[in-house]
Amino acid sequence: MSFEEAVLLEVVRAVDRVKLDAVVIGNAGAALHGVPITTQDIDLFVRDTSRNAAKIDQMVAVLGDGVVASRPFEPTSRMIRIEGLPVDIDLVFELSSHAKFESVRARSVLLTIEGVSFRVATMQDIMDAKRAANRPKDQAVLPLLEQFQRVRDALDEGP
Amino acid sequence: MPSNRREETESWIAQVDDWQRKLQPRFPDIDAHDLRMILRSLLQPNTVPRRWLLRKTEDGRYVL
Repeated sequence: MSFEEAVLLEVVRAVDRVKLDAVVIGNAGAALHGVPITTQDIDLFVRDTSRNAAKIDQMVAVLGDGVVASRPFEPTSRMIRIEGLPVDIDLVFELSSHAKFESVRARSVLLTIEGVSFRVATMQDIMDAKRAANRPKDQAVLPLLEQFQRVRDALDEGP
Repeated sequence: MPSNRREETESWIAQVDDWQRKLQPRFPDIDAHDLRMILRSLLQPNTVPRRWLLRKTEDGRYVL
């Protein structure tokens, strides 16, 4: 099993165990679609509810000793960062595109690793969020995401 | 490299070559190296692990 598969499996198993409704977004989501890209973290989009806050606490406990959660960008952002794993997990409660969680989830793609299913946002939702965020790091990666989408569409059309 | 693995890699690269020839004229704005990188990733066999997560080393560098 590759490093990517091992890390992803650890995360999605914890998400599944506490029944947290989450969708992978950001560069990790794009990489899972096949975009030739690298990232240092895995972003998860979740609903901002007190019930989910409790599930996130449970998830941190499931992930084990040495794993901690914090809100490093409060009050600007309520994003939760889970640290202590080989890569950080960022839990975000809203997207810059203002797409609703229910819509992003409904459009998402279901993937499975070692029998554990998890959801990945569509390339369109990932690109919309990056266009809206418009940070230098988003501007840097968007041309590749857009080119990837065009090439994938061409492959899907067939020879 | 076992022969079946070698054949798989050769088949993968042949597919990439084929699609590059077909698509490069259609996407003249996409750099040839970028198009090939995208095609390689899209057509990569499942048996070849896809690397995309950087991990931090003890000296603070990020490596694949």
